[in-house]
Amino acid sequence: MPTKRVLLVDDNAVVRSFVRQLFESQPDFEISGEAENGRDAVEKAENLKPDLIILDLIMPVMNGLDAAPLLKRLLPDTLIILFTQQEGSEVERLARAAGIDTVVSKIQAASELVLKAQALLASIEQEPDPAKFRNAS
Amino acid sequence: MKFSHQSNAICGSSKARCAPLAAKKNAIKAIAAARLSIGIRPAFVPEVTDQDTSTPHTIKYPHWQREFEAALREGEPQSLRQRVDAAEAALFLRSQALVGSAQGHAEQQAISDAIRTLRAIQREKLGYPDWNKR
Repeated sequence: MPTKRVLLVDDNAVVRSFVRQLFESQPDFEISGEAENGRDAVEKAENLKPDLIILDLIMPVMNGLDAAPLLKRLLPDTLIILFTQQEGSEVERLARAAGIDTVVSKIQAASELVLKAQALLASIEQEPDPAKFRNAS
Repeated sequence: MKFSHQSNAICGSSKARCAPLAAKKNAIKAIAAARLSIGIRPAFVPEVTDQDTSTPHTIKYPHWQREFEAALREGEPQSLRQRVDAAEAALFLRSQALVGSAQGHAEQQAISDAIRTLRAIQREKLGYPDWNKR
């Protein structure tokens, strides 16, 4: 599997540093950039074109739920994981509505984040590409 | 000894099955590095301060309680964001350290309460957008 490019979005530098170290310890990921809030993420994502965005929920300027639809519009194939301290079905529901692919709680083991990212990317690679089917027919 | 035996039992047959254990080890390393990077004081070093100490109270959760209380006490708007960030970082790192611990239930509850309080400060005093208003 080619190396996957990850954009980290979190207003807390310590959380970014922690997540960066987790992903950099995996051979299948590289951190392509960091952003401090949703607006910063939207601005950077267009140039960085990451395969995966790790997105915090509560941030200044623009939160994760407001940023996610903009990111999906810019980069429809990029996967988004909401990594948040907020838990509950309401967060899950709003996250899905915003186009977020999955939610990982910051209260759980952060190693779950890497495992979920790997599983999500693997499932996408196994899915047949609808464009290929269209071309073939 | 017991731990290494268990690790072999879990990981012995398949490299793929070792992934969660390796990820957990990486998380532990990341916690240590992140704590150092923000200068979070080790729990056994007492805080020396020239501020009012007339109301001594016990520090029940030394990994994050001081940072949290400092955020609650902060009156200067310019410093409040830094205090909240430091408290949030300490809470995050502690909750990561508590993952899988059978004894940390009460502290996890205290962490959840502290996070809720920080969220209110971020929303009401720091003007963060409210994610739930939709």
